[in-house]
Amino acid sequence: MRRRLLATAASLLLPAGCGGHDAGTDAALKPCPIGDLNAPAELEIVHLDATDTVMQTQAMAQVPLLPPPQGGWIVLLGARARNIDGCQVTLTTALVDGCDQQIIQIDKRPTHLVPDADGWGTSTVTTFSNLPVCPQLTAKRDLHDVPYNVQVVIEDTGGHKASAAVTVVPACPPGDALCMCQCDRDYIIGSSCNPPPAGGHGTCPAKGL
Amino acid sequence: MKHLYLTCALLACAPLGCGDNSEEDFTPWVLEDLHGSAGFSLRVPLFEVPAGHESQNCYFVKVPDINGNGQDIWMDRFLAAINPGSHHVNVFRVKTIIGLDPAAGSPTMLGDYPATVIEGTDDYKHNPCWASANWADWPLIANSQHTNVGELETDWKLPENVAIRLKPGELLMLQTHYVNSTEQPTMFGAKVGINFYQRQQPGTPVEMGSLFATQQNIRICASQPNPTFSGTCRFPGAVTIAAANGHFHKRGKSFSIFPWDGSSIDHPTKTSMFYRSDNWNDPPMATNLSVTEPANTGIWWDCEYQWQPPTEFSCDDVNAKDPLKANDCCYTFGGITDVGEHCNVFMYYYPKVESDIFCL
Repeated sequence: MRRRLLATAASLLLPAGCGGHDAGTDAALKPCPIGDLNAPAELEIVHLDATDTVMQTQAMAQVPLLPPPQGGWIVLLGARARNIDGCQVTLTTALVDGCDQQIIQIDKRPTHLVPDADGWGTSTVTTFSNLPVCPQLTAKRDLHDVPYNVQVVIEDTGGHKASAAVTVVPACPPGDALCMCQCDRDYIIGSSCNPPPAGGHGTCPAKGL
Repeated sequence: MKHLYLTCALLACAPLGCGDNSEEDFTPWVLEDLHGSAGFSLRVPLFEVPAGHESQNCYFVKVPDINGNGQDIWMDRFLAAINPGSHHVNVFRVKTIIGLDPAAGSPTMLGDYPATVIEGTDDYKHNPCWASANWADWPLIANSQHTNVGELETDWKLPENVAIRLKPGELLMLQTHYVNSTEQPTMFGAKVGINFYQRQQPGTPVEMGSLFATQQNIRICASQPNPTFSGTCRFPGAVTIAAANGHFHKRGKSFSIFPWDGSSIDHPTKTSMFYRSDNWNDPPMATNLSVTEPANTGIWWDCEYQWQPPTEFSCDDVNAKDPLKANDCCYTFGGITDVGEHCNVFMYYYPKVESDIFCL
């Protein structure tokens, strides 16, 4: 069962502990260690649900596909970590096809970790990774309701680094025909979704195809 | 409608000319008019952009049947002449119509050809010509972001035996975006001309395809002013990249593109970079590339930013546009340069495989 974290959009909008609005000065240069920087960095993957609530990403979790402003469907992934500088972290996320281990797409950006009560820090909602999932011209399977791997790496400017991976199931909003069409293996951008592609391409293609 | 105000700097510069944009150095462009089998010419009627304002217009025109036989036509040269102040000129193929309806435009002429236009003035919040979701699946055919007083033309000759395929009757959207600000002044009026030259050699050439990739969830905030955003995009097969340009707005410091092996999560080596732009308001268009990409590979691109306050609008306007309402003067995805940001790759490759490529 998914574990709901305490953080919400309202509480994680600004990078607390990393300075506030100071008109262009780089507050991120001020270090804000989370945990013990002499210990190995540790990482757990989190994601945002449709209401911007931070959820711990368990194996085979359904991760919602969300529409960004210029079309397509993304998942929003973040980090929960410790033993790292929470103000100077780069977050890299990758969507990986478990059939052949090919990386479908990568997103890399700064993230800011807000300390939790338990000594870990979680990405602010505004600094989650925007990992594009569909459409994908090169998809070999459907991109919704089918397991895919996500790989996450965090690294601070001091070289503290951790990585994690988990298998998730990207999921369209219930009843969203456009999402299911554009996340179908056979959808080609610019083509009509009326009628939609047939769907049902969840298995790995035979080797050699 | 939002009214903008002249800045003192613009008032000081505009009548006299500043730096490289002096009136004495400006020679109005003249392009040859193409007729018949030579190709076709599109001419956007001259219009003015008031100082301190931006303009984005969407013109719709059908590909003419220049050979008179209804057969596909192949273009192997794109020549654009653009008055300074242009932020971009893009030509798309029209696909799914959502909120930007060619039939709703006002009649106009693009040279010899009847067209319609939807003029997007400063009303970026409501005008459909500003809403990029309206052309999210419209493949790019050609573009130019380059113009300055000393160089008004972009002359892109495609590689030998490579051409863009157009269908007579196919609807195109020519989009102009002018910025009359201190950083990108429109001192001589907004004027654009494009020539599409038909390939004259016999035989069927290799078809050119386009790739459009964008980082949509970007945030450049006052309290975190130096972010870098990166993305990747895969090709469906082995291709050669022929041309590329990067697109961002005023906060953009550096735009770079690299080959990506398709299997590594690590950043490509710096030495493999094949495109770089350090100028948001006159980015170079690399037209002589020959970057070979094996099957199962793609590109990696970086957009590096430096936050700065808006010059024509205010942080209140920027905050109002922020979907997360962080109240941190965070520039987010959007077309108007003073309150929005972009991180877009425009790229051209061959052979076109399956379709044009979008990484959204």
